[in-house]
Amino acid sequence: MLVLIGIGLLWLAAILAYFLRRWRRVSLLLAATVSAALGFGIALIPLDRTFVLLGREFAMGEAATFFGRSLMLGPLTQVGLTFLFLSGAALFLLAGLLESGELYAAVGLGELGLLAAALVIRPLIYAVLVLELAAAFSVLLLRGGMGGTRYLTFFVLALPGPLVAHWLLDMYALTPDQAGLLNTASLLIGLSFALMLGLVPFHPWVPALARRESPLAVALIFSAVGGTVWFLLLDYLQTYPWLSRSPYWSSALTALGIGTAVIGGLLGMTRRGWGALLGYAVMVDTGMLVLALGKGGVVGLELERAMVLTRAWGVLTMAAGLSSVGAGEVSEPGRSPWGAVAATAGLLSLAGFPPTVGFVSRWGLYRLLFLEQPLTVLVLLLASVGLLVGLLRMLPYALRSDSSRPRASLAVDLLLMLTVAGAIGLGVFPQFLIYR
Amino acid sequence: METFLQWIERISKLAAPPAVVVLMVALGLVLVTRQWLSRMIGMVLMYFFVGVLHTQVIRPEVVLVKLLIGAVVCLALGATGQAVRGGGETGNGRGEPETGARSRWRILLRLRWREDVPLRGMALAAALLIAYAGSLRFPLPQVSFLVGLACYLLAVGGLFLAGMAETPLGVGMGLLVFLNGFDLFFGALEPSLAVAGLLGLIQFLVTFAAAYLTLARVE
Repeated sequence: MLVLIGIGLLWLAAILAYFLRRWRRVSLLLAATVSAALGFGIALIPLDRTFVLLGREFAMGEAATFFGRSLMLGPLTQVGLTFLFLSGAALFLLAGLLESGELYAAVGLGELGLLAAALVIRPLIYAVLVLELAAAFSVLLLRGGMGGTRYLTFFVLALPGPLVAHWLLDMYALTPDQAGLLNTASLLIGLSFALMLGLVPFHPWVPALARRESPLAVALIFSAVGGTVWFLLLDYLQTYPWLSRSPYWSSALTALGIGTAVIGGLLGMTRRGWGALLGYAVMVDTGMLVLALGKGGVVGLELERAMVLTRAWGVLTMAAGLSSVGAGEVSEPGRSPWGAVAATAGLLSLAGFPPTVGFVSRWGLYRLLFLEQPLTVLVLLLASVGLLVGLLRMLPYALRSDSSRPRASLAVDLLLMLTVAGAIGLGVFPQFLIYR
Repeated sequence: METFLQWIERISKLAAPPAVVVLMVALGLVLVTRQWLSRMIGMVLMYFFVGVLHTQVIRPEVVLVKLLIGAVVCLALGATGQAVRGGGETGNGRGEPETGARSRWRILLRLRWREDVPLRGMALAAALLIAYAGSLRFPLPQVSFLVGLACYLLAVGGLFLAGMAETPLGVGMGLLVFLNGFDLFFGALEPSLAVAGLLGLIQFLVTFAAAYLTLARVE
C-alpha cells in the first residue's frame, strides 16, 4: 500500500514541479524533498506496521491492486526502491546548483514514479512494459542528439524478448517435457537484458548518449534507469531460478562481461571527450557487474547489489564534475577547480581504483575471481587502466584555465567537494553504504 | 459503433490477402521514399490494415482502441513532419525544402533518380524475402500464415527503416513499424486488454519521444 501511495505522491509532485518550472530551484528542491522522504520512508518504516486510511486498516508492506495488477514490496524491491529514490534525491540536489533544464524536476519525478512502478508491479511482463514506458519518457530529459535516438531504439528492440518468453513459460507449464521452450525463453530474456544494459555488441548507445547529452540527464538514465534494469534482472533470477542453472549461464556471462569491460577499456583510451569517457567507464563497470552475476550464489548476488550502489555514486560524482568542467553545453554553472577533481574521483570510482567507493565492490569481485581465473582478473585490471589512460589524456582540458567562463559560486564548490568526499569517504568506510 | 465494428470484421474475413499486399505497398512507401507526405500515407495505410489483420486475432473492441491509437500516432507524426518539413529527409537535395504543388510533382518524378533509392529498394526486397522465408521456415505460433508473414514483414522492415534513417523522426517511424509487427503477433499470444493498452501507450510515448527529439534537434 505504501508503494501505491508513494507512486501517486511522485506523480502529484511531478505535476506540481511542472507548474513551478520557471522557479527551477524551487521545483528541484521540491523534487529532492519528496524523493528523499520516500527513500528514507521505504528504508526505515517497518513493512508490517499498520495505518488506517478511509476507515480501513492497511499494512505498509501489504500488496495493493491497481487495475487488477498487484503491486508488491518484497525485500529486494525495498532495496531497489530505496536506491532509486535516494539517487533521485541526490541528482535533484545536484541539478539545483549545477546545470539542468527547467523540466528536469518534473520529468525526473515522473520517471522515478514509472521506474518504481516497474520494480513493484507483478507479473513481470507488466514490469517490462512499464520499464519501456519509463525509457521512452526519459527521452524528454535529453537535448535531441542521435544518442537519445539510439538509446530509445535499443530499449524498444528489447521489448519483445521478455513478453514472448512469458508466453513460452506458460506453454512450458502445460507441456513440461518440452525443454526447448525453456532454452528459447532463456535466450530471449538474456538478449533483451543485453540490449538494455548495453553489453557488447549492443553497446553503441552507451557512449553515444553520454557524449552528446547533459551529464546530469545521462546520470539519471545510467543510475536510475540502469539500476532498475539490474534490480529487475535480479528479480527475474529470483522468480525463475532455472535461468541461472543453465550450463551456458556462467560461461556466457563471463564472455559477455569480459568483452564489455575490455571494449569499454580500449575505447576509453581514445580522446573523444569527457562525456564519452563517462560512457566507456559505465561499460567497464557493466562488464564487471555481469561477471559478478555469472558467479551466482549468495556472494555473487550480494556483490552485484553492492556494485549497483557504488556505481551510482561514481556516476553521480563524475556527472557533477562534468557539469562544472564544461562537458554540458547549456547553462553551465561556471568554472570550479573542484569540477576536475569530482570528474576524476567519479571516473576512478567507476574504474575501481582505491580509495574510492568503487574499489570496495571491485575488490570483492577480484577476490572472488582470483583463485579460479587469475588471467581474467588481469584482463579486468587492464580494462580499468584503459580508463585511466583516457583520463590522463582528457585531464589537461579540464585543468586549462578558461577565463571567458565566470567563476562558480561557493555553493557549487561546496557541493562538488561533498560529492568527492563521499566518493572517497565511502571507499574508506564502506559499511555506511554496503555490507550492512 | 456497432456498425463500424461489424464492417471491420467483414473486411477482415474477406481481405486478409489484399491486406498483406497493401501492407507491402505501405512499407514500400515508408521505406523507399523520403518524402514525408508519402511516408505519412504509408503509415496511415499500415495502421489501418494492421487493424484489419488484428481482427483475426483479437476482439474487435480492442482493435478499435488500436485504430484510435494509430490515428493519434499518425497525427503526431504528421504534425512533427510538417513542422520540420520531413525532418531534413526531403527537399531539393541541397537542404532547402521545396514547396507547392508543382514542386511536389517534381519531387515525385525525381524519386527514381535519388541516389539512395536503389539501396532502399534493395532493403525492401530483402525485407520481403526474409519475411517470406521466415514465415515458411519458422512459422509464428497461434497466427495464420498470412498474419505471420505480415508480422515478419513489419518487424524486418521496421528494423531496416530505423537502421537507415538519418533523423530521429525516421528512426521513430522505423520503431513504430517494428512495434506494429510485434503487436500483431503478440495480440494472438496474450489477448489481455491491459497488455494491449500498455503496448498502445508505448507506441504513443515512442512517437512523442521521436517527435520531441526531432523538434529539439531542429531548435
